[in-house]
Amino acid sequence: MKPNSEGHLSEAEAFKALFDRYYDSIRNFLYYKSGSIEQAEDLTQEAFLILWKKRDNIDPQKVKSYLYTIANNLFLNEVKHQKVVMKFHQQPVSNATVETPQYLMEEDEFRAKLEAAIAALPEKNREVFLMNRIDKLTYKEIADRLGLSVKAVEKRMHRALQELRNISPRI
Amino acid sequence: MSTRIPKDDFLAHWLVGQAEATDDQAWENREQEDQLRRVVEAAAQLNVPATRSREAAWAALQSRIEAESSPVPVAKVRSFPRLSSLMRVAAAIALLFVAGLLVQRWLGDDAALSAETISKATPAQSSPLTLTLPDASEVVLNDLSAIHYEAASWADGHRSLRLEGEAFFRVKPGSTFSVETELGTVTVRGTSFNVFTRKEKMEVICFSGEVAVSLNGSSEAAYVLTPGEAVRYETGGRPQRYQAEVSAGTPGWSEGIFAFREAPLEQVLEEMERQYEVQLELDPSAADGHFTGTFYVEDAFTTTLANFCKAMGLEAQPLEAGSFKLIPAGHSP
Repeated sequence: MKPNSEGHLSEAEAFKALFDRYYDSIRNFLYYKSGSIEQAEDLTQEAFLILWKKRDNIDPQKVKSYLYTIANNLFLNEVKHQKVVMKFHQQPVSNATVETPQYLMEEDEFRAKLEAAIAALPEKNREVFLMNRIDKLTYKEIADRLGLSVKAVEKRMHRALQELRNISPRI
Repeated sequence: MSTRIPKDDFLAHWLVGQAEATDDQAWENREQEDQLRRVVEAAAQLNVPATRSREAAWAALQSRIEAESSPVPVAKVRSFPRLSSLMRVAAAIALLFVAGLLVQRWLGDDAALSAETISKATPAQSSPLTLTLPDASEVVLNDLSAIHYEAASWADGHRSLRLEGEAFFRVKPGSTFSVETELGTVTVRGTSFNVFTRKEKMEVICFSGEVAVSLNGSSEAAYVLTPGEAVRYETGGRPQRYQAEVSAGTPGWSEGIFAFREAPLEQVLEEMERQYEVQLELDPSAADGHFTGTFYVEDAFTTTLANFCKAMGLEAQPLEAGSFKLIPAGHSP
């Protein structure tokens, strides 16, 4: 028997479920904006704390976009905006073939270029691009979360891709 | 220079395979398209770094909520500012429990419970359930596990609970905190530790602080464990001390990671049964083996089973829905 099969989730349990569902994407969103994981994690905590305090005044249908709005406002309120530097973890490569040192070096350089190019994107375009690529959200989902039209998301995506096609694959 | 001005969302459509044929002219050359393809594929492989797990972030958030919901103590007033919020938590848990008890009554299964006992249990195939105890200590319950405690005695500062299954505890510093199990009692003051107690086995791993374990069947005094130390015990056997991997700060299972080292196959299969809610039967001819490896709950059961079988040279035969028999590979009739 499920622990909560006796009825509705308690307020605290519902909040935990919401946290589990959106923690990663809110943290990622703030990372895309700031390029600082410490700042992203701190602000994510603030965002959920605010959500908890205002829980009685929130339309449950709008919690998702409300969370993004809080996160965005928190980010804007931060006084110091440093130059964004992006550093990602690479997913372990699943194929077992042994790569040559030459290939690995090229991969590293390509990666560095990619990270630099992503960091150089305007913030609005970068967040849309990474929400699509890393969080695997569709344009429609991104639009819902950010409170934008799908068309606006597509425009930002287009501009991000336009910039990124100038990365040269070779040294 | 391209003569045609591409639409301002062309590349967004191109990425999802919806660009129209005439839009080909948006590319200066073929290579440019391949190049961007590589970029978007590489970007999809990126992972955002993290300095702490979601579990840890939740624990931190909870203590902030706890702290902020208490009234700020005013210097002149000598009272217990935290008591009210604490009582609220206790009351909420008690209410939840009453609801649960009513359902249990209707189901006619109220024999083992008295009205003051709070019980929390997890089903198979669930994600770890994090609970906050009245003293703000935290328990993470693994699948098919339960805790029971008396709310009234906790309010009196007597921190004691009964555990079936497996749980990880983060104990707030304070008076003695004890976990009673079928086979023994674990006592601490403020620390984090993992207790596994299923069938005739018990296993305690200390993650931080200091833990005392006294075993019901053992004449020896309590085993005192410091971080990284562990003790395991099986009814009728001898308690065994060993070193455990605790650098992650929390046990792997609380993140959905199940790592085994030289573990009896039966133990691995039992964990899979709990995590995936399946029935697994091991052919007696394969019962002696030991498994070293890891499975991840987020993987599909078929993947986990296939990897396990491959590693152990076994073959899985479906018996009925959700039920399999594992036999040595190449011996199928």
